[in-house]
Amino acid sequence: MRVVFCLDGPTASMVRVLADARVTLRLETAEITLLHVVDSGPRHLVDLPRARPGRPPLPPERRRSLDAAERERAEEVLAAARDALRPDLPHAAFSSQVLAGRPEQEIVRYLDRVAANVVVLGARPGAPAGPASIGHVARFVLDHARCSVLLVR
Amino acid sequence: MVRPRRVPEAASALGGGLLMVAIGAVGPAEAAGLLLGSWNVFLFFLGLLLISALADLAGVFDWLAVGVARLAGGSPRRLLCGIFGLGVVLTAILSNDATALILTPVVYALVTRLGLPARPYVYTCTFIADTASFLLPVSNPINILVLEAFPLGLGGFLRHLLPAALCAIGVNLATFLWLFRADLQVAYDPGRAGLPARAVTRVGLFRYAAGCLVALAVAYPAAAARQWPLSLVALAGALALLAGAAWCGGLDLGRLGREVSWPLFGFLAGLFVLVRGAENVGLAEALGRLIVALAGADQLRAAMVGVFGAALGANLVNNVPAALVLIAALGRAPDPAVRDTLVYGTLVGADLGPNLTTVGSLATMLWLLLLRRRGLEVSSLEYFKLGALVTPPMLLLSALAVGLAGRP
Repeated sequence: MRVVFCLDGPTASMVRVLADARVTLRLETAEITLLHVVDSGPRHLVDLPRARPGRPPLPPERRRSLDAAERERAEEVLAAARDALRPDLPHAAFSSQVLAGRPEQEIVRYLDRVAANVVVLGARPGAPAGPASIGHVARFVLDHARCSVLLVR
Repeated sequence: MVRPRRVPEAASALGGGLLMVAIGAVGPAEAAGLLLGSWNVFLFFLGLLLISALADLAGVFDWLAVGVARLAGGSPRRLLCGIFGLGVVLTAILSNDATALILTPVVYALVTRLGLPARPYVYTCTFIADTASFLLPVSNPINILVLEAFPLGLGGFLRHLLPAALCAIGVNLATFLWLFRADLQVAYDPGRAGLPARAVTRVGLFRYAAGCLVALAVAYPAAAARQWPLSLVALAGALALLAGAAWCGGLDLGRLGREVSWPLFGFLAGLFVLVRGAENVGLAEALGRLIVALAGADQLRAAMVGVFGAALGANLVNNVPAALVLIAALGRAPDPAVRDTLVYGTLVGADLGPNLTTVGSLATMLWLLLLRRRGLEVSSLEYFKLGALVTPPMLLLSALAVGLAGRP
């Protein structure tokens, strides 16, 4: 069974999602991919005011610091997920994947590419039940993924 | 408004200016006199750009952003309010470009490290840069352009525009807190922001730069109150910062040169001549008559015409040419009280209007939508949707505030 975990949001709520998913799914021998998508939208918003007439592009030093912040965040998210899952699943095969783009579209494309059987998503942490409890990324994946979707509240 | 895709704005504006000289709409001597006479505007732009870039080199923006994240104590709502406050202060003293171009990436890196959704905070920086840009004459270079033509004095400026600016800032903050409420629910660990001191690599330069900025914050209003050329204050501040950076060994001339928007000077010079040409052939006069007729004798009506006329122009073409054309047109207004209200309204519309499309014009946004890489298209559309929701109420309330302030 190929299972993809989509990881984002605060670390504590993400770890809880992983623990719940482990109970729900039989993950002992699964092929688990930990997936983090860097949302390119806000990064492009940083560049948008520089599209005004005569404004210079973002200096390379600053661009590198933004890349480093994104990289650190991705590494931290993936490391926290591995630490949360690995001790209880010593025989599962783990891999990590970092993508960049619009998260909802990148996730669905990735699920198709690896022919995933199950994708695990988290609901909005702390949100009360109702339409607002599911973020737009999870909503899009629920609607468009060809595989089963486990939404963990 | 219309230019070939690969031609930069500065080149097209300069080309337009040269064309005006070539067809005789502006004489060569008149064009030269006009550009030389605009020394205060050009030097102010130069000083402002250098100050922002040098303050960034000294680590002032990073230090302030980290400080705000720690002060917010882990509450995303307080962090959003803190970044709003920081944006207001930086825009007021260093202009809208300092906030939009320099604070935005600093905040993006900070909230990414904190594991927070970046959108609310990045939007805050880009919006507040325009929303807070009529707090002081130095808060937006457009203000200097307008005040060069209509020297209204700091007292009048504050009396007419401070209530409007506070209204716009209040509406902007309240709307963002509501619109992004779902993203502002989960607390963060303020310790992850690091210590403000760690954001600074050269402590001596940072302290010196911070001192210079405080001095500038005092010098700008003092100079504006005496109607001294603000370019001299900006240039003095830039030279003081340059000397400090050179003394501390933190002066990176290559980086500094890249951070200054050199094409902006060509863009401005071209537009000055272009608009003078339009004025000389009677276009500005015709527009002036139309504006005066629309404004009538009522201050509130005049404020609405000024604000929404300038905002429309800012989004159709760009706020700089829109402001220049309106300045040329408003000189014809016969009633001084109505004219002043129209001028203040123009200033608000030209400063606040670009929040609708951020790139400064509909034409530029269309280019972005059509031509730029995937993702930026989405950001432009996303920005426009948010701007369409937030900007009209800000314009309306600000126009009301300007109109009421203008009434005897």
